[in-house]
Amino acid sequence: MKEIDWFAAASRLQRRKPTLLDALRPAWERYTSDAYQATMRPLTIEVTVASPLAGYNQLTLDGLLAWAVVNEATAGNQLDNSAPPYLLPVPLRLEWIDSHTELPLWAANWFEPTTANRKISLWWHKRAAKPEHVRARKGVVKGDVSEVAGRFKEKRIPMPAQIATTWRTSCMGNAEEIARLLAPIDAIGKKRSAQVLRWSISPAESFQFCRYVPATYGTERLGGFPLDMQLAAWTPPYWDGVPECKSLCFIPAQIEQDVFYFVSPHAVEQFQQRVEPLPARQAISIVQKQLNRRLRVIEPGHDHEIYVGWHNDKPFYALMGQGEGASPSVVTILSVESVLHGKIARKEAWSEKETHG
Amino acid sequence: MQMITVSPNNRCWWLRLRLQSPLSHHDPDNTDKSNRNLFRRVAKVIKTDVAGNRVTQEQVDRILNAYPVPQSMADLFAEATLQQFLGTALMYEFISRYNGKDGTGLFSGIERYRRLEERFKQSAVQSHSLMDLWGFACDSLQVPTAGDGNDFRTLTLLNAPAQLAGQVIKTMIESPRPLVMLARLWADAARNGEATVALQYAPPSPTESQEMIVEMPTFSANSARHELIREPGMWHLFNKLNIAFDEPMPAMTAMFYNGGDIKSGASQPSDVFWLRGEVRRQYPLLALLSGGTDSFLLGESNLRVHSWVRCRENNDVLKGVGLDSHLSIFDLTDDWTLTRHANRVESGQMPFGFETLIENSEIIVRLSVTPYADELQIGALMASLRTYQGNDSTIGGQSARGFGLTDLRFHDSLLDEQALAAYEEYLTQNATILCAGITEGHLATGKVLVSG
Repeated sequence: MKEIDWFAAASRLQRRKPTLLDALRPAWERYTSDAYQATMRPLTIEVTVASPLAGYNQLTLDGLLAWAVVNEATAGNQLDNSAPPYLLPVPLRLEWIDSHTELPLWAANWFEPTTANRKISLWWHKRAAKPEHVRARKGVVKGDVSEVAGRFKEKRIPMPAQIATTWRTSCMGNAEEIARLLAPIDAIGKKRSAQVLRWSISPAESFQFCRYVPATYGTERLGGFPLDMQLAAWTPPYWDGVPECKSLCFIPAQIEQDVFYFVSPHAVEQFQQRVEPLPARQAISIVQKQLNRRLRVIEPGHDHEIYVGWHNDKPFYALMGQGEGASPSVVTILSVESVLHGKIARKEAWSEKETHG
Repeated sequence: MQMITVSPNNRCWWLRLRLQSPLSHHDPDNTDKSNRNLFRRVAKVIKTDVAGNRVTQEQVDRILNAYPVPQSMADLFAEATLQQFLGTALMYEFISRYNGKDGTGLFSGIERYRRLEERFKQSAVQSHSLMDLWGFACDSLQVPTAGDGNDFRTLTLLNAPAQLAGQVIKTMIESPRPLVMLARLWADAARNGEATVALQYAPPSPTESQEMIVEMPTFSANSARHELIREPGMWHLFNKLNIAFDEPMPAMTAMFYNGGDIKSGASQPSDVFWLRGEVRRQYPLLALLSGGTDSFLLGESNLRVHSWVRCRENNDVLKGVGLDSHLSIFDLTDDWTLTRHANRVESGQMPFGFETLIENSEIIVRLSVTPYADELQIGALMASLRTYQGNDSTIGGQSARGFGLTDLRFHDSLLDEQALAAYEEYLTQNATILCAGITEGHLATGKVLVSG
């Protein structure tokens, strides 16, 4: 299967300016004001439910709160999902605004189960129209209404669901306002399948993102370059029809444990020539991951640090040097044809597992 | 800051549907080839105090010592879990008892292992203990009682602690095939008189065993929504407006009957926000239940429906509203066998079986509305319920054969007569425009929204 180049795909997306509906402007101005933002505290939010939670994706706190705010502002008449992206206010800390899409990243994670859980399929049966509903209408002929094809088809629709009874998430937010918005929500999930018994909001010690956030947030705010990225939605309304809600994302809580290595253009070329002619992005990703295994080759009398990595069961060696800034740099890549590999084979050099501080 | 706890206090109604005849409601996820259908089931987490106590090493060792495996097979269990091993032991026990010569009951002929797998899986879905599982499997495979001197060993296995039994049942439901493969090999090796060795397993860790997951018979909220609200709501509206069911375009009738569907290739109009609001305002039933026009959906419905069978396992939800029960769900199911009659040349006769919920058991339905449902929408809800009570009063399948007749009663609340009267009055006063909206497809917006 041909690999999708997400960088190229993402750069071709037509970005539209987000819309702030008049009905939502008061809430936006209130929630994003400096004074209101200063009231934000780390919180844990738990919901207890009495039936399975259906949905293709994880339940998001910022999405749920945005839905509640919109419902309140429009008296239950929801947004039009074909329009440009909306600015949806929520009583959470405004962590960052993407300069490209102008959409906000709110300090909230997604709901995770805390009790025993199992993934199941729930089935929705869409019944076929009865024969007596269509028999006499002028202009309707036999075959216009079919149970097996087309618009009137009888359907059995499977929907993924999970059966945990308690779900938890964390955020930086205003507890009282969140409680007020959650109070009328008595069912959550796709088709509102899970009946809510109660919401609890309690203080937490700190907040950390444990969900997908944009890679650009990682480079701008965390000063690192994420290794594992994928195209994911990161801001409400999380709709497929609004591509601005999606970008190349990573999970900060996972990535911060890794050391970032600068892989020089020369090292990339050497990897392509000596190991495998892969695209630069893929070569860098492989080198980064292998270096984070912390397997160092000790060569007596050699000034440089050398790390060993594997690709397709063959070793390669990364010669390290001083990089720009604090990040160590990969100067070049050596292969099994190198003198070094011969030394290792003859046990004149060896590798051992080490841990960076 | 103190913890804040909020319980949603939206307006809701709890309904009790007492079954006047058994309820047939099959599992749509059933893919086996047998002529037997189980009642619809959904997995549910049951707390330990309902399910039993924690498993000890002594209990596990007792079973492992009763079922030493042939030495040649010990390696095959190296990666198997305790529950997989116990599931295999159960199948081995069955095979060693009933696989002599041509086999016994339905466990015979070249199809015997397919039937074994299917029927054990079905039996596992029906069971909440290994005793049940064995009983259901023997019954459905039509094998006789066979005392072969190993009854004590068998009963040791069938008495496995509840939490462990729950995990074996789950394994049997999800992946019975490898268990059948291992059990066949085991039975063959045992027949050759190989030396045996008792395997060693630790009991499940405490965190895994505080709760167990059970496949619970359930009546789907989606069915309740259709049979109690959507279809009777449509009957009421069309009768009130004097519209025959086949008078509107099929897509219009479908929107009221099953929610309808968007026309293939249609593009959404630019004023959809206004149109949606207008349709919901004019037709309270559609605001309550939603639906699809030719080119757009009418937005989220203002009605929420959830349902449970009244039984001990659902006390965690139903106790709060005084609907707890001391009966287990597994005491409330029954098996039926009917026969499709033979034709004139006496061919085509086919017995078929299905599981039902027994007469006098209760389905509990919770209806709630969002804060945005106005009095007319609540009136539409009440009109639907009254129409159901006064007309069909059946739920589930096979009502033509006498299944699923109910007696609907409000629990802890009353039918809102005032809202019902307001809705009836609204329909009477606006009958002309509402009727034209349905028959002409514009839904009282001045723009044709449904044309198919």
